[in-house]
Amino acid sequence: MKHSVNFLLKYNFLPLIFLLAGCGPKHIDGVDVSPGIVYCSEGDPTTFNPQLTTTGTTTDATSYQLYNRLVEYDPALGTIMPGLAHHWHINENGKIYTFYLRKEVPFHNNKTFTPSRYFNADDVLFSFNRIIEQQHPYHQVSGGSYPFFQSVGFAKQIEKIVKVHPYMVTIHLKEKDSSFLANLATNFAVILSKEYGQQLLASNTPHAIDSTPIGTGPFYLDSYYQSSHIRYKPNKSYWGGAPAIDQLVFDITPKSTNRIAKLMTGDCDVSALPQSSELDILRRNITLELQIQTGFNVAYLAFNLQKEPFNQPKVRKAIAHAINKRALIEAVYYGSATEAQSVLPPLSWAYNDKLSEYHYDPKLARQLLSEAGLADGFEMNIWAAPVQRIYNPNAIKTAELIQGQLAQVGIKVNIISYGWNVFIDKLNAFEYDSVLLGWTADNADPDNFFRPLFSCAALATGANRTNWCDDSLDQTFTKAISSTNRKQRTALYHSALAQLNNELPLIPLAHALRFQVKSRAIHGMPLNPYGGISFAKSHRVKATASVKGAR
Amino acid sequence: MWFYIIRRFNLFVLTVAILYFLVFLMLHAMPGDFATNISGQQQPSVELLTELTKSYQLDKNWFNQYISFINQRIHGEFGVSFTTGQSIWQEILKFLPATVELCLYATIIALIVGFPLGILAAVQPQKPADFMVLGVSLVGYSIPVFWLGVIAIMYFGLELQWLPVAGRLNLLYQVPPITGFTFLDIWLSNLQYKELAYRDAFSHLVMPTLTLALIPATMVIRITRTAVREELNANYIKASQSRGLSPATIIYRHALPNALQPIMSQLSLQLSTLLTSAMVTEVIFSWPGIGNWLIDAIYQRDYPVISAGLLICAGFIILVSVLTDVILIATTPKRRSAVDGSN
Repeated sequence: MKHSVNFLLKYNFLPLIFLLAGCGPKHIDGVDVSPGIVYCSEGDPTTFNPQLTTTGTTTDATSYQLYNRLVEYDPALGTIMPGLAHHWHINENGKIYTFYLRKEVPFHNNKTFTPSRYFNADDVLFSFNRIIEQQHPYHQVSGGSYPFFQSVGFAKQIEKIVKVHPYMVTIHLKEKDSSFLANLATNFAVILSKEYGQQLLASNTPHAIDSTPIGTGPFYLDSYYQSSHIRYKPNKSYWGGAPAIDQLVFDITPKSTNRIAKLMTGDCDVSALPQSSELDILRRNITLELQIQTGFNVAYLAFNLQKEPFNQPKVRKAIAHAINKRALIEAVYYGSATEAQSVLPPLSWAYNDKLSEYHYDPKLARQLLSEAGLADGFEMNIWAAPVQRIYNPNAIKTAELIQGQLAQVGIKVNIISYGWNVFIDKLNAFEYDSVLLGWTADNADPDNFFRPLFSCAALATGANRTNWCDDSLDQTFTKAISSTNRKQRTALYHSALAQLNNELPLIPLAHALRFQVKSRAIHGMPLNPYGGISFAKSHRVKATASVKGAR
Repeated sequence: MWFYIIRRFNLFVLTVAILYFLVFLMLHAMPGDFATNISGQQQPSVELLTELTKSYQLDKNWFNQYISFINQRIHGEFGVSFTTGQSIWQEILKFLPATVELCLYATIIALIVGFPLGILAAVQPQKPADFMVLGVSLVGYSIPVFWLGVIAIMYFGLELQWLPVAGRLNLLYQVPPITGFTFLDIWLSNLQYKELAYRDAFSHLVMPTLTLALIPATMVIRITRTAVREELNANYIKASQSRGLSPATIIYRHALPNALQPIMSQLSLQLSTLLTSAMVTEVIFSWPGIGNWLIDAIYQRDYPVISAGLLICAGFIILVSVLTDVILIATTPKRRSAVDGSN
């Protein structure tokens, strides 16, 4: 009797079990459905207007997708290219910039706004006046802070912006500034719609200009779900040619390992900021392509030159000789950086390759220290930034390595770190002996590495961490910026670099490489060294392998 | 019967009140301003602070504060999140369906797999099949969820690339979240390729669901086995066997229905285990559910969200166990009389 029960059960249930086990997965290439691209981004944008921010996450999500600039920077050629201005010229004294605007450029439309006219000079005036005029109705909307423009002194630099006729604008500068055009080509100098602004003012919802954006760019914002995803749809009437993809989705994935996993399993096509430690896995995966570009950034160890014994150049040089940059790059960047000889990366046209190197030589370091009267060594502190930055993935680890290296020459190092905001506050009070920080350029102009880091004016704004400035150096910077002759400028920057290399107020450590990982099926996405990612020309090339999941 | 339901209801209210009191104490103990922690309003303006003081009776004694805390919460007023600045109640509504979906499918799989295996083991006591099933269930029960999830991701996701490892749906399918349940939302959406979207949603579900189903399945097996064996040993089964009833009739008509009662009551106790495993599973598979949300909140020190998540999860467990209790009592006169008899 029992046997028959068993028999019955066995053959009743076993097929069911097998059936379940057979519910195996079928590989599904959902991406075949629609030629869209999913980008795994690292975080939520703080706004949809890049004028208001300097964070890469926000500019990546907005700047090149939704907007255009008057002029664009071409990363491949390293030159300024036409944008919304198809042509421009600078007058003889270098103070008046005239822009001839592109005609028949339409703005996006959304549920509440349908543009009645094409882009024209009014929109240029609206966008820039919002930044420079305190009394502009939109200046205080979203807080009134325009960090990039404030850091380059945009408002002080511009005397006036004049609409000559609907398709011609002149910008009058107070002083000659050869980095001005480069500033207009940055991610931040986008053009907004004046008509939209007026409509929002009339409906008393001015904040919407930064959260439900209207631009002229290749994509318009379809929907945004915080901490989940942003969906863009192509602007079919884009003046530069409609994008070849049906949609662009930013999948907000804060964890780096998750981004890589999504990339490998096909939920993402392109991923932001892979970590140095993951590069080996990515290189081994044949379906993925790792794009590498020397970044326009530098990580440095800056000394507080008002403190003993760092006021002595010999001590600074001794420390430079005691630091093994190669080891730092191996351990902190996993090889994904190049050794820095100067603050300026070798990619820049003003780079000086004739500087004398401070190679790793502990013996020489000890000798220099004893010449400075510090043969017995001394104690110092290194402040290390608590967060990951593009130029330095792990400042605390860097500090620990330097701690070990300096111990070899008899210098005892204490590492100090605070939360990021407190850290910056305390830095501004110049309480440190030395600090590990860095700089990421916003544009291609070499000036971006000099005035913000070393000028006397930068002492007040807080970017000059050396607590030191030099009048002759300041004059060199001013001369370089008021010249438009590249040869002359190169010579001036070479001399500035030589002077800095000799004084050594800070030790340049490394230029971190910029990475982007993408599926090999995605084409048309060059890596921009200044940050900012553009999908305008991206498209999916159908590989034969991707058909296998189709119906 | 009614008397019993009222007693259960009282117990429910009392337990929830204690739960609220613990969370209330926790909010007091957390660093920062109590008004901020309870409402999520960081640096509230003077008007807002006055309003908060009024609605939470912050100027009164702790008992008043406690009562108004409960009052606010049961009206769906959970404050706003520190990190997103959005209404916590809205966020709960956004994340809860994903968790319910995951738990529901995992439970269904656990039952479908666990029942037959449990019965199989019960009808062949001390035979190879019994040992096999028991052994496998013991091994399964001992495997930690986080380990299994990661191994599954490594092997089926990254190595074989059969299955996606994160999220609920490929984002290229534009499915507006109306109900929060993926399949329903796809059905309601105006997608052109619904079938492909269903398949994509299914492929995203496979690994998290199977991972989560493992432990409940082993429990179902063990509970079913014990319960069915007990029933099979009962005299009335022997009587029906001697009357010549077919084995199938004995199992399906007599043993199983009677065994179901203890199985159900045992399983309802496992709900908290299921929910805990679900949280871990959600984090591993980036499943946008309540567990992922809550653990993120812990990382971000988002106190209002932590307290709200605690209330929701614990409240849900209490509610379900009371409900199953009542249902069981309603359907089993045997149990009812035992309870009533003790009064």
